[in-house]
Amino acid sequence: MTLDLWSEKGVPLERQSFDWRELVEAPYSKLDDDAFTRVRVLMLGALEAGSARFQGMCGCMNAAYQRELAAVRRVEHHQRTLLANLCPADQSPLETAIGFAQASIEVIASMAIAEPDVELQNVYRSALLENLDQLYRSAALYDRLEGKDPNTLIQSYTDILQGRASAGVHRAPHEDLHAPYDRATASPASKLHASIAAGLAEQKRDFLLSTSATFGDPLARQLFAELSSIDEQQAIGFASLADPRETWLEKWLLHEACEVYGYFSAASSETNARLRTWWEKFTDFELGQFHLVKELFERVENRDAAEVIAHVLPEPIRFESHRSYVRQILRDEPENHTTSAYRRRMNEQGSPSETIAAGYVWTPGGELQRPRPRSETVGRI
Amino acid sequence: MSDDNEIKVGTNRTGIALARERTEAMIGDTEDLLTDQPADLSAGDKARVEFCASAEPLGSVAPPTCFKGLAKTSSLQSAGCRPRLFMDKLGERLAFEKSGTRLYEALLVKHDALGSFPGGPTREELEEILEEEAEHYRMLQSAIESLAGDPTALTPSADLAGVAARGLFAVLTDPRTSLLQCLETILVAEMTDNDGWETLVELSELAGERALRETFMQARADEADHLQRVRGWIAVGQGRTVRRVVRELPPMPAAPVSRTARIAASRARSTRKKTTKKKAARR
Repeated sequence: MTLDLWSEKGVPLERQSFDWRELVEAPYSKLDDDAFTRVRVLMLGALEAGSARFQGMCGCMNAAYQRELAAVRRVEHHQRTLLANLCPADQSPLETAIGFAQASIEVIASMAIAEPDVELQNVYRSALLENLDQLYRSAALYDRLEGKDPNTLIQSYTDILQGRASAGVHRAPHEDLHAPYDRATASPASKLHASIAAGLAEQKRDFLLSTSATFGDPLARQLFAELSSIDEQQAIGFASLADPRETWLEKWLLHEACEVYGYFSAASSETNARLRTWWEKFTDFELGQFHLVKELFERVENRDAAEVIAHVLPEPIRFESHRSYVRQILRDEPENHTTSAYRRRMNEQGSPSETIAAGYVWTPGGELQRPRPRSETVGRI
Repeated sequence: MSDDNEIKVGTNRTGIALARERTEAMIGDTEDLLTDQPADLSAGDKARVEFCASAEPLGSVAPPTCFKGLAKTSSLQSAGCRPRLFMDKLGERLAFEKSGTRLYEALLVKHDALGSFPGGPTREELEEILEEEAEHYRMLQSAIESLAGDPTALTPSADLAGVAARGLFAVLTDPRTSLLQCLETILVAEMTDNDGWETLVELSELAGERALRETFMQARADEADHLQRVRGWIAVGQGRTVRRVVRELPPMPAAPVSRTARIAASRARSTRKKTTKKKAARR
């Protein structure tokens, strides 16, 4: 099932509006909704945040489009607000971080499988192992700090296993850069995947950064610092996949196409009927925004928008467990060889990810199910 | 031993006494807005009432894990117990005891870092409480499994208990807090725990689950002891005596009578009445 970007016009921008009550929808249920509902909400929020960042920079550099940017930005900001408020109040920052880690695994796994460019696929496969480890470390913190079972959030869809050890993936900045796709020859899927991956990494990075101070525990703060630094590495890496020769309007068009794709994918598989209605509505909103930008692009650059993105979107992202694929990568993926000086410097006083998760093995019901250490050793240095 | 329990006088800037001039400047131009009339919060309250009225429940309890569980649910209902509430509260207690275990682990770390104070807890005393908390959650796991429940499932009350406890973890793991401040925070957990076990004792009685009830009563007694000890340490740490006594535990009620026995007793009473009437009629 796919969608034709050219023939589906969606809703015109002037009819895309909200009132304050509509911006605070009833959230999903942490207990009763499927884990992939959370994954969709977090991914879509990441896409909106990515668009907002881009549109902000675009406005700084292009006075000619500021009016159109302001109009689209306003609507996108309110979409983003609604998405943010779908997260329930009983979901703590650490629980949301676990949700982000799961989203980063399953969404990137889906994209890696569908990615036609082998070089890009390798980038996603490598990131998958880093994200798997991030989930493992966050889960260990949740279990050991609060005595809670992280699987109540993951719902057994995603393994809680050590991936590529976080302490070992700290790279010098130049090592995060990859060869970009060629805008003239890259498939639509490649362009969309790069944008989604970058958006997710940036949003996760910013979330960990902004919520780390909610912890009293300094070790939890350190872990969030370490994981957000890894996300910054990924954000740099994924952003470098996009062809830097793409014009501002080209990139804007791709962002809008990406959002259509995101909401369309979400609507295709959402199990919460109320939220599915929103995903369908926002697919129409994004189509309206896409056509506004398409018209602008074709008028200003005198080019066919089909040079940038194909009429028909790829198959939707698959919001499902990719356990077998991830385990296969875990077995087969070669180690990344990077310079050690930067890593040594960052780990100079120890690695919080190693300290927090030392010996952690996820057990149904939580680690407290395992035989307890003797109390006299708890806390003893 | 540390003197971290002593609250020091310093540069606390949160009150207006240290910022008189700035405060007067703030008020100065707005003096005519100041009033001694009560604030009208009704608009906000009305809006919140509307949100509450249209909100969906937080979540549900998981279904029984097997057919035996369905039969168990039915028999609990017949006994006058609300099985979903019972399972919800069992899940809550389980989650709380696991959190309590981690809270006491954090308290041990605090004790190791700062030491105790005269009359305060020894490490061994904290370890003892920690082990009892751990034993309680193991017992609750078995209890839930015996009722064909899933001890790994998060019940609504367990979820809410987790929300309420977030502040407790923030205090216990903040390196800036003293042992006394952590004990005062753990007091909140112990008070909640005591009432929680009282609830389970009564619910298990309603359910006719005698063996569970007795186990819960032992846990309740353990928690009453924890509460008393924590209160005592806090009082000593604050330089006062504990005036309140731990609430007297209610006398142990008579063993619950099974439904079959109640029906048999009722029939026996009815037969005796009929026999008495017949005898009276013959006279």
